Amino acid sequence: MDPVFHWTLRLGLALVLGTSGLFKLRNLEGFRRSLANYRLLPPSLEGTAALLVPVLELGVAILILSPVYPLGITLFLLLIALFSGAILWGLRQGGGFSCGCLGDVEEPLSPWLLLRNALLALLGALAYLGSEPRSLGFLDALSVLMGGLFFLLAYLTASLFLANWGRMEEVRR
Amino acid sequence: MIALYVSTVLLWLAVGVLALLVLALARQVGVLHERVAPLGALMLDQGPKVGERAPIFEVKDLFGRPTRLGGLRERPLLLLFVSSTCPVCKKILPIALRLAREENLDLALIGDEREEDLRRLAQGLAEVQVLNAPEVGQVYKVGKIPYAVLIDPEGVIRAKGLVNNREHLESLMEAYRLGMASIQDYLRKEG
Repeated sequence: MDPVFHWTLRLGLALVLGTSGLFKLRNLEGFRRSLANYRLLPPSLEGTAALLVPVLELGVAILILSPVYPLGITLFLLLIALFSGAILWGLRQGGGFSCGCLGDVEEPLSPWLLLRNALLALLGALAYLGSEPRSLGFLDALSVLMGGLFFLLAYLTASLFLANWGRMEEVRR
Repeated sequence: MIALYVSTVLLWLAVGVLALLVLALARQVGVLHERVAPLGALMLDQGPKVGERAPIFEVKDLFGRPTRLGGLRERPLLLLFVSSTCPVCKKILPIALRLAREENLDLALIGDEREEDLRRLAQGLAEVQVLNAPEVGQVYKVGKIPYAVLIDPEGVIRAKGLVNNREHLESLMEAYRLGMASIQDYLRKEG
């Protein structure tokens, strides 16, 4: 794969993961409540897990940008599988609560989140392909930087639209 | 070559600006949704009326401490009827806690379900009384939750209603300060 595509993918994924971690850290209590809604963990572990998840996300984001990125991508795919499993479990319990993906952004649990995770996993898997050597210039750097930022903004916008969609349904009722 | 540079830089700038604009729009839609929500707590005209004396209950809370609802007390009392199965209740809990702290209210959470579920919901809320007391909800004729009743220190009901968000809860305090039963009542009197 061309190095520009490769690096854009890695930067984008790292930014998405890092932002999710930061949003959760910013409102730890809210994220703990979201976790409690899933009823997956015993209450005594919820506090620890609420801290562990965002820290893991930040750590994996850094790994994805480092030379040992295949390890980072593998951990990223594992995290995505874990989250998707939790979402599926929450949905089967009836859903009706915020997924907690972005801390205090009220994103209701929905099958769309699974689709989004699948897309992220697919993009992650593409990064495994590695890059062909090619000398990089200014335009390449600009493309990677802006492409990565675009990736992040598109992710945030999609999340906000999913959050608004839940409210839209409430208004219709 | 220069033309390629210029056009690529310009295109990326355009993409960046557009992405920011769409993000801002999505946020605005969210804010609009919050504004569209009904103003003030909806009062369901059932149960003891605003201005009447609150019925007095002697119940034990989840820790077995005897608790008295209604009657004379030092601070206003906010009753919040909740359930662990209602997502809005979970959302309103931290808001009610903050309001109680800011406005110097006693807060009592009242449920009607299995004790362990209620305990799970109220976990970590040390400064709050949590009661599993179906009879209270029956007397207040609570049909929808989260439902709040504000009782002043003299034991008189000052405001009540269905509270789905921060604005609803604050409207109860506002109604208390203005001496009006509800925002609907205030709007009617103002004509």
